[in-house]
Amino acid sequence: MRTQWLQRRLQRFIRAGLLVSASVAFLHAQGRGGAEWTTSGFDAQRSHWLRGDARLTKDAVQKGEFAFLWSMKIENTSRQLNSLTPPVLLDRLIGYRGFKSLAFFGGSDDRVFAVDTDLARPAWTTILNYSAPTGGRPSSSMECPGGLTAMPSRRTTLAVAPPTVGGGRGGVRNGSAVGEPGRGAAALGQALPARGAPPAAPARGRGPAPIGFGRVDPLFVVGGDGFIHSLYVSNGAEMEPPMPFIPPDTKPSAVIWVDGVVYTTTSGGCGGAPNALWALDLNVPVKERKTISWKAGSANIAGASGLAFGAEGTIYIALGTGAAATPPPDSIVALNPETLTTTDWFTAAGADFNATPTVFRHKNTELVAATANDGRLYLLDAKSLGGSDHKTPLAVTAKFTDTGAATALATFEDSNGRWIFATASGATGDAAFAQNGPAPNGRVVAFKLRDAGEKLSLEPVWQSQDLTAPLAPIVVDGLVFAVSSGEYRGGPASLPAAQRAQRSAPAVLYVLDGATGKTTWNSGTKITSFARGGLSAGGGQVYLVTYDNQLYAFGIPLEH
Amino acid sequence: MHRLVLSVAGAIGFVVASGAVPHAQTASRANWLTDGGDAQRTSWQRHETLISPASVKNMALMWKLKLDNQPREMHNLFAPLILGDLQVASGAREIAVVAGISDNIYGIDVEKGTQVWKRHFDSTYDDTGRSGGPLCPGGQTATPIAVPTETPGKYVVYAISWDGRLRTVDPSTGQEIARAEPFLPANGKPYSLNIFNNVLYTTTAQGCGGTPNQFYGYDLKTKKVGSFNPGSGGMWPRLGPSIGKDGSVYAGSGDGDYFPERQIFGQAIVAVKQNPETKALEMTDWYAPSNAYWLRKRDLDMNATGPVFEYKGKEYTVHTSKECRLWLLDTSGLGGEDHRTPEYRTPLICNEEVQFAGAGVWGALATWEEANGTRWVLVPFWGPKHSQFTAPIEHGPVVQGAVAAFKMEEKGGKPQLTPAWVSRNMWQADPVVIANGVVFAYGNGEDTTQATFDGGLGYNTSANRIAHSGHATLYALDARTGDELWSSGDQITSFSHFSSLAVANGRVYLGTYDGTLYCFGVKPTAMK
Repeated sequence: MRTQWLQRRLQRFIRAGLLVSASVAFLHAQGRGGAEWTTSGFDAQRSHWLRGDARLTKDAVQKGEFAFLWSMKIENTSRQLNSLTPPVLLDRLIGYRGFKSLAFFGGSDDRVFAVDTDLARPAWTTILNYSAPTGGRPSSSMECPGGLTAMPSRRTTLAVAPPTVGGGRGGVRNGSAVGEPGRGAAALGQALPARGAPPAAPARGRGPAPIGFGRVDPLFVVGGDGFIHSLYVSNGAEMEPPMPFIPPDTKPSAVIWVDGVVYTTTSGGCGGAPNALWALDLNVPVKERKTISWKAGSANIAGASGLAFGAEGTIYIALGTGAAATPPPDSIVALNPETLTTTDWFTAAGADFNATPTVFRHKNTELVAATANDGRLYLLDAKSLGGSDHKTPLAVTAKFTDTGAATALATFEDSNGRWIFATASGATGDAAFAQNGPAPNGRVVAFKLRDAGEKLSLEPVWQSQDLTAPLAPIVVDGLVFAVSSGEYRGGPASLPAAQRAQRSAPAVLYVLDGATGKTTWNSGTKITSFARGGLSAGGGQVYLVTYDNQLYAFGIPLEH
Repeated sequence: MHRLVLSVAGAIGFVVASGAVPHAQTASRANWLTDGGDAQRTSWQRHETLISPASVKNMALMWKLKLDNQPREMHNLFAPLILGDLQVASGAREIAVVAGISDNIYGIDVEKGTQVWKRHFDSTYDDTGRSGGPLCPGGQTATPIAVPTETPGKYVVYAISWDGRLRTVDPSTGQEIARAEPFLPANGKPYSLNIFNNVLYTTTAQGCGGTPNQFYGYDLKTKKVGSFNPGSGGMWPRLGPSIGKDGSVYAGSGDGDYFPERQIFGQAIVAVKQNPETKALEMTDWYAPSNAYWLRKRDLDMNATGPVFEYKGKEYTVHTSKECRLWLLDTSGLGGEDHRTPEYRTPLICNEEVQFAGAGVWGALATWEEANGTRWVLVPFWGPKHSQFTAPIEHGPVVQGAVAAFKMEEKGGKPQLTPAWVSRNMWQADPVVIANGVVFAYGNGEDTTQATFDGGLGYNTSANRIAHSGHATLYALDARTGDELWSSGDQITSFSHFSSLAVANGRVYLGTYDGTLYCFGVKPTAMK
């Protein structure tokens, strides 16, 4: 009788739904083991789209579970307006100090930090020695702040691993069984279930073997001296002596490691370095390593991420305006990842591309999207940028923004199709977005990819509420996370950093409905300084770094 | 053969008739017939008269005996069973029955410290020579159990050999007195056997040998094997599952997922009972901590036996995990209506760093009751004490492990566990036993590191850990204050991995990795 009563309790319990644990648990099963934020823009394609987070879901946000979690002051000295890079994340390190969820980020003072993101505890700090034979760090300027400026990178695969499905060890349906007399225990789903789809293999396959289960990842960092460091994620110690990678005292874009090669770009002439794409193959023995480069001429290579990869490994970069060269400025350029030779390009004269492109798949075609200071969004065929004359895009939007508003694109795909998000400022031009209130200062805008048989187009859909100097948005489960950075970007170029900081306002994080752009949550006055680095997300949490050297975490609370 | 049949029939008959739970004592001698002392896994020797806080100060090494069992990975000998008045050919003797991982079982005359018999189980398992590391060592992994028969001084010992078969051994001779019967899949990792109402119980973990992690119940009368799979997680209580007065069997499902709507009960304390008709094991209740997701995320799984006990007329069970806190549960409703609400939850006792190795509670809790009704719960733990946990009596800084003692009290009509004392530092404190006001605890001396900063889990091999292990140390503590009354010092020269103590008739026993069984006692006692 007691057993029956307890069984009835069990049934009531199940019928009651306990949707929170169900949704969390189910999505946890879906999300475990999926791709992580290992590099700038989440992946090699710079999608800024986190797939399959178990806890950070539209459902949880709608239920009001999204909240400010913690902030942490980091011991770092800002250089000009630079302080901390956005973090890369590792959701599960089986480390010598336990299972950890960690965020890794650089500090302008040539420091690298790791933080336990569940417990908001510092994990380790590594100070990078300045090793270039230049006599020491140069003095800092707004254009060339020096120090560490490049967001670090973990090993990043070319193809994003799909979220894994399954319920932990076992995961078989529970149940009772009885073996026949003298036959022993009955078999009951003996085989452990598959742990979901394995991660996609690297397209080119020339990189090193994946890190084995329970082993220790490296973290790749470029210091202010241009040396590349490989640090143990467990404690920040150097795996091998750092070595020269790029010229010292430049202003490199985010580092990325793909297939055993580290890449970055430089622009702006800092340290006397050319505008260039740089690569160093770490697969070969140390003595054989040699940096190769591709020079962009007088055109800057646009975007904090520097470069993006197609699924097959082709590199795409965006060039701003400049003097005539081959390939010409105002171009999206495709390069061979091993030789860094140009393989294709698209040029729109005067466009002045201003952000790292993003690469994504639509049906059987790989596409490249890029914004330019002409206020437009361009859509290109990755296999034939610009067509036979290198000047014909698949699509280009009407002007939707004033010059200089670009940060980076975000893109995601759901059952309603492919979305592309960009930042904008000033006049909306000729693009007709559904509005969420006036947005005279800045905003995030959303485009939808329309496929009318042979012809692709980019349809403007919505724009967000007003944002001050918005940062690049990111996407999680159909939600768009946007930041009003608060940074003061006006005034003459000669205005010192201290005054710019003084004129800036605290940043605000917004959560927008991806379908409508409507604000569903904002951080209010929680953040007390302006922000410059972008967002990262994973493990149910979203991270933002600010000028005053704080790391903020927002997300779905987890009982410890 | 006729005698064999009769003795087997006699054994089974007694077991059937009595619904036998191993008795701790006959008229003159105490027994220790199962790991943890009794079916409830209290680890409390209720019938000790020789050991006391006064006499234990004179404890000495009675003998040590090197057995020829070969270690596998880090495992060697398991806790001995003590049969205080076993009838052998020459009369009544006090015999220890000790299982070794390499499919051996030994009979030891504890008065003389000599081996009187050895049984090596034949095997139907095709050993490829490769084991699965320290987590899946292969071999015999479950401490056997001794069950009294109808005849005073006669017992039957049940064991599970490497090939998963149930063995029935006469402890007076070491002979198998029944055919080895299919029980579990081979090469698994079952934990110490328990018994209730003629059903032998165990749990398995790690998925060793492909064995599902679940409860198993061998019905001695019908030879049917019931099982229950919680759907996720491993079940690795060091002393095996505990059993309540109504036959409910308790164990935690650690390292699993908790999806109750999908009937998956990982990271929970699960209760099962045998269906008397079908002999299947069926879940009757469960408790999942409210932070089960966190426990899963940080590998803070339930991996310790939780004893069952009575307090003021109610039955409770207390459980723990590597997280290092206690959950006090009412057995009439584990976790309350929502299965997430314990009767009481302590603050964290240790593992402030949230480690998955070398910290937390790893073996078993223990409990005993004073004559005045004061109920104690004892928690051996690994690693440093939590900086925020305090007790009225503490015996110095704790950096490697210790025993924490709690008293059960009632406040506002609700039970709670109040810290009483924390022992001195020990090298990874493992399951304790209690006898007549003395707590015997031991630091196991093993290297419990599993990961290094550069190699990660690649460190976790038996070779590495054996090389960095030291030796076990046995302590006698005043059960009411934690004062150290005696220590074995450096007398034990090897570590002890995943074993436990036994205590009876003035003697305490511990087996070590090098195959040595140690016997410490207060004074030799002769058989009458």
